Amino acid sequence: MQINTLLHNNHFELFDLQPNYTIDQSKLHSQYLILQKKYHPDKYINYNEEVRSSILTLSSKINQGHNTLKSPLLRGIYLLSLHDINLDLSINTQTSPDFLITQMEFYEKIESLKMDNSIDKINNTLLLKTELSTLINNTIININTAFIDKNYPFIENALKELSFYEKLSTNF
Amino acid sequence: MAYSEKVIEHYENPKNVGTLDKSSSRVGTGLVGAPACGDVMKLQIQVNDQGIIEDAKFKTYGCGSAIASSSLVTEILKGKTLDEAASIRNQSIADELALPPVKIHCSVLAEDAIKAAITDYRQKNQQL
Repeated sequence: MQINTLLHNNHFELFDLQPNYTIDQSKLHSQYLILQKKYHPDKYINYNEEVRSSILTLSSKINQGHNTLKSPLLRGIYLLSLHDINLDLSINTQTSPDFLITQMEFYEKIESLKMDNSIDKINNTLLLKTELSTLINNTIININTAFIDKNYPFIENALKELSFYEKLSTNF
Repeated sequence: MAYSEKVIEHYENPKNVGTLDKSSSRVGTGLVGAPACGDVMKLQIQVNDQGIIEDAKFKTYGCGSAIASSSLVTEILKGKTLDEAASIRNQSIADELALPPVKIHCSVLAEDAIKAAITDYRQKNQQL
């Protein structure tokens, strides 16, 4: 039965994508809409308990898979797990001091921008946002290259940095 | 998630926010980060001739629990010897602030920051 096959698929298989770090985002989105429509629990209310339960699991798996693959950070961690590497950021707290210094400086810049009432505020905010998104984009490009090169220690470190950048970007 | 009153108290009125002179030989600086939540914590201690921590400052960018943990730690550190400071465990910080399990890592971060600051101070003064 197709539902059971889908339940055993990994996230990439579920959305008919190659298990690579760089993915076709528009395909992910269109597949997500197709799957979510096809396996929506509301369509199965007249089926037996077993089917309804499977559909519920599948529907939540589709959402979870979509959220995971959509995010550069979560996708990286997930793809690592498919290579049997378990990156648990909550227990992995070793971060290079130099990197932390630049993080601190970034926060300080954001903080002083918030107090800034000069005419340059908008421009400076935009510059800082651009600087951060460049850092994020470069990190994503490097992660992709490292996956191709199977350089897993590099990926683990880059994903950690990406996690810090993502938090930073919520502070504007 | 509800924060405990103590967390809110430290968050709204944090103690000892600021910076000490990083280049001073009396000052030890600890900089730590938690990748899971992206929190960054800087803790500085100033040690007198008797080896007692006479001042402590912090700067933390993170959630309320991380800010409260570092604020509390700066309060606790003052008047302590380096060995006493090194023996502070995250559990006592977490207990004092009544941190929920999902926020325990904030107290771990604070403990790591203390250790890093002490290590920095000791390294600086070994070389003198």
